[in-house]
Amino acid sequence: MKVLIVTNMVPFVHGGAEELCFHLVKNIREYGHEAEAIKIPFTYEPAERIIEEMVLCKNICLGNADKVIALKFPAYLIPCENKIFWLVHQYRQAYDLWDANQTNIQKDQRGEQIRSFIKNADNIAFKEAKRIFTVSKVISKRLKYYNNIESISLPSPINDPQNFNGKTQASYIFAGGRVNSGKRQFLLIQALKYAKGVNLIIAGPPDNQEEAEKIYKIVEEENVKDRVKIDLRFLSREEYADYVNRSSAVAYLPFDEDSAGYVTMEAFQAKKPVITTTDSGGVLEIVAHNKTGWVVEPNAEELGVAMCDAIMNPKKTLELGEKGRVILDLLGLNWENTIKRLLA
Amino acid sequence: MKIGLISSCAPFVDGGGRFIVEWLHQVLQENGYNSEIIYIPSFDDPNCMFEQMTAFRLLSFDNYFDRVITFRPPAHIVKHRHKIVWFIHHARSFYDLWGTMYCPVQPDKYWSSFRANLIAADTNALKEARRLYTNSRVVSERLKKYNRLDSKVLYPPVLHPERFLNKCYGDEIVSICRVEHHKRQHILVEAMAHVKSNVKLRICGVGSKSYVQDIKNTIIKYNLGNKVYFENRWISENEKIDFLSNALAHVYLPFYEDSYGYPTIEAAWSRKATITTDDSGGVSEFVINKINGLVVSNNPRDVAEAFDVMYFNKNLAMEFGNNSYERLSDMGISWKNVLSELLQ
Amino acid sequence: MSYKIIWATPWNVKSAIAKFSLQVVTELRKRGCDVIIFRTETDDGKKIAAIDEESFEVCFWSMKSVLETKHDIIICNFGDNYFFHGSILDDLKDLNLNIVGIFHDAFYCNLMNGWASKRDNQTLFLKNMVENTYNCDCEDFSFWRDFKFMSQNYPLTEFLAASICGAVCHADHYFQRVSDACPGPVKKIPLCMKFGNSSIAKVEEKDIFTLAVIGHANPNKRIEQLLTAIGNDDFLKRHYKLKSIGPVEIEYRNKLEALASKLHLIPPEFTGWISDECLEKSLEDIDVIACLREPILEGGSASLIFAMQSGRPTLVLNHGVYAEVPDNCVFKCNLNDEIKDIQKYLKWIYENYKNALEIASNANLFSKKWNSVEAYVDELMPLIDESILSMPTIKAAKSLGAILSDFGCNTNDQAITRIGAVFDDLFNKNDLSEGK
Repeated sequence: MKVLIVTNMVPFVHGGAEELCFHLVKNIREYGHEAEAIKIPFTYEPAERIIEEMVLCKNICLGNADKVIALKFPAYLIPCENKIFWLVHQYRQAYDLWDANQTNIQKDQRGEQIRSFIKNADNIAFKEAKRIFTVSKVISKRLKYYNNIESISLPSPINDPQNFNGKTQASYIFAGGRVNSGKRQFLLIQALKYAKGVNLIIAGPPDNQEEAEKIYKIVEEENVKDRVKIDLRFLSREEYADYVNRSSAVAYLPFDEDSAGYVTMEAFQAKKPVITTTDSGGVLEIVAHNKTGWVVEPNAEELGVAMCDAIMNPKKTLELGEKGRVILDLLGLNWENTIKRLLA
Repeated sequence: MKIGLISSCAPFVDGGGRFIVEWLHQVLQENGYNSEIIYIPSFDDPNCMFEQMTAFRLLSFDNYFDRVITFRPPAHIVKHRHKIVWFIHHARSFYDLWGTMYCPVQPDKYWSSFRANLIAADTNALKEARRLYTNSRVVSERLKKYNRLDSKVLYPPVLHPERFLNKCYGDEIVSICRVEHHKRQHILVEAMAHVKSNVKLRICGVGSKSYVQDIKNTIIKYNLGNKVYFENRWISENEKIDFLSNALAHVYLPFYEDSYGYPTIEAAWSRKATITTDDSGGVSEFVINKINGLVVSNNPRDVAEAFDVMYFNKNLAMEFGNNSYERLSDMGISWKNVLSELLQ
Repeated sequence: MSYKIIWATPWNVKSAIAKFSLQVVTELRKRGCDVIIFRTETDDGKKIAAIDEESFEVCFWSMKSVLETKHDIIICNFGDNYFFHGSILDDLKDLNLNIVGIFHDAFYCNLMNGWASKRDNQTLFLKNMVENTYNCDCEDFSFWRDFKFMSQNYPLTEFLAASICGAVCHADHYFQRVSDACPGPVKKIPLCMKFGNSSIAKVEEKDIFTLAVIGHANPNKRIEQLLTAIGNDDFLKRHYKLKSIGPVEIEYRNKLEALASKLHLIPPEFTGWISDECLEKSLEDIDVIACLREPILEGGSASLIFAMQSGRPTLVLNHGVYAEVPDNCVFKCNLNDEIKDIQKYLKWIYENYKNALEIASNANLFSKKWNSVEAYVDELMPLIDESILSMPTIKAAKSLGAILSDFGCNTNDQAITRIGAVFDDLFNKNDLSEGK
């Protein structure tokens, strides 16, 4: 079978979302099919420009593919037979981010028109699809709410589960993943004053220099240089996995995340419980308080208490970690199953 | 300088059109430049050709790149303030193949008018280029004839040519390329039925099932099992270097190809002459008869004679081989030349 | 350039357009074109006798026949009569612009009404057509108003013009509408028509002049105004009688006769429909022709050509195609002074008939050139050429437009303007000649 994956790209920006595409192609090939990724450059500033982007996608011809798996707007508008959605992104700024006033579409009559153009284009594309999968329940919910489209959530599996073999516990909490205000690593630094004896490692690529500076500043302010290791850069898989494997627990508290997140799943793969907050969105799909981790209010004090608990009660921590792994295994998330479902 | 390498691609079809882009990208990176490849799919269907051209025209690259270099059509259609076109071929059905059996449409009033519009649009877009390059004289001549545009021939080099070696002039004539009808390996095999010397032929490559089978059958038919080695598999770069380093000479006789073909250049770097025919097209831009190779008719007996001449005159094989190597710099086939042209 | 043409037209004895078509296709064939006639009459129209002409292949319009017939272009004659022109309308969309349209009329509400009457909800169909064609929201919509209002606000010419790739107009007054709506080239070519050799008008001492009005008798032809003008002038009353040559409904005939009687006029004569041969014979008795039209619903005017080539002094109203005729060829009345001008001219013509005939002969000379079939085809063929040249890009532009319309963009959305400009910039027409 010839399988085409269509998604977007932004020139010179390579990051997490591309990983999914890369591994999807890799695994489809391992499964015995031909696979290729098509990445269309996407410019969305100013919002008016989005109309051109949609039109150009609708004029692209893919030729002969047996199946097409579409991941993102507006690449998923490309017309073709046998299109399957594995929806990673709609243009949220026309939907929930519009409602949350976090959009680049101007809030006037023209903005409303642009929104409706996007919605109409989306609805046409969804109706033409053979099957619609999404990468998370949250995305499915949004799709139902805004476009009245049914879909099946099919989370993307960990790309290299074999790396997360979970070694012994050292006594640190590990906070991995992208570093920015939305991921709220700063709260963990502030929480340290409520977590005596706890060490913290924050490692991952900052969105920009400004975000990195913010972290250093808070470490200064909190005067916890001796208890925090800051490693702000893009880590190799081995480096990252090593941090996870040797941690006691993993802390991940993004604001209203779309899905459980790789950080969460990788933690559970390594049998490490996860410290998170009540407002972390999709993370709560698999993390439950005192069952597979800690779910506390998003403030420094409660986080500090949880971190303390994780370090001071290693037996409990181990148990929660084991349970986390069980939960993960129950989800049956591996590439073989995923590809089977996508190409069925 | 941020450089965009913009090309079209036919999904699941690799080939010459991609090497020129990917090798240039690698060389640019090695030389410290910031380049990015953008592939936009295109499909050879006249009924949606103008729509696809519109898609390319709508792409917006001014904010990402200081200059763009375009390759396979219709990439030359993109708009950019500093566009450099390295034109590798037209939409030939509507140019030099118009009205022939290779043209998929009837030359009636409608399609004649379509052609006029296409040529006008191509010409418009090509005129926008700061500099217009082609990969061969043939293509430059067509640009002049059909679009009335002057262009400079910029010959595409092979990647890391210093890998190629000359160890000795053995007794094998080597052919390494796709095994397809228009590459005409069948002439090579038939030629071997007429050779008088002990020369051997090594054919390497993969291709369409039916043609590959034909070749195998022909080898058996003429009982050439001990003279012709058919390596019907994908050959690694190291194997290719090895075969060429020990070859007596190289043979490449595709049917009317526009460009000289990378195999010809690879052989030249190994200081091996190329035997070709007078109907191979662009190969004769590189191979001058009795200077750095032999150009004969496509009659297998004449090809056989060429093989024998090389076998019986190893010094000639060496002389032609060295001349091939010199010809590389005479024709400016080097990355240094390419970069100096494209980056000026 | 010779073409294979599907010529879509009425082909019956009652259609002036059929007469026009026969003359034009004969000339096209002379120039090397292959022409097949596709008749556009609906079932009702088919009941009328076909014109007597053996030398052309004729069939009735159907999409199937179109697809089976090899052709370079379809040339479609548009007229405001559903029985004569209606059978192509259902297929207009599917023809995907492969048409050059000849716009004989400047008003198509009757045609569209006939088409709408075949639909489930006639009123809604017409309302939607008007709203979509003119990009408006018609709240309290009533389709049938007075013709002048309809022809100025929604003649529906644009509905047809938008579905074709090239167009011919026969006069200036509706050229802009067609040109604005048609995605391809539009050309104004004066209507052509060749009539038989007409009898020369005699200058004889006659007490009573016959003033003829030719064509279907209806208020548009200003017969009431002519009767009034004559009736309000003692001199004219005694020296002019009216002859209506052409079909007339019984109610309208009664109305006109009543008016004439009230005005104490010589009773007007009504011939009903007569054949062209009879028409030309009847010229012997005709001294003056009135070719007044208000409002202007037509494009060119076959009656005007007939009148000019008849050698009879002809009265017109100074608008529409009539304003394009030189002043020394016809007698131009202004709409604001209609009655007065009619009286003025009729009097002058009676008292200066010899001079009037000279003016009429100017008209004859002028029309033989201006309305010649050769001149028409001279202009038509390059237009066909240009239209075929436009077709491929028009189709691509249309599919672009459909994408944007699916998004919900209105025809005047700034995105359509922007993207249209990008498209036009790429497929710049100016460079086309180089590619040929």
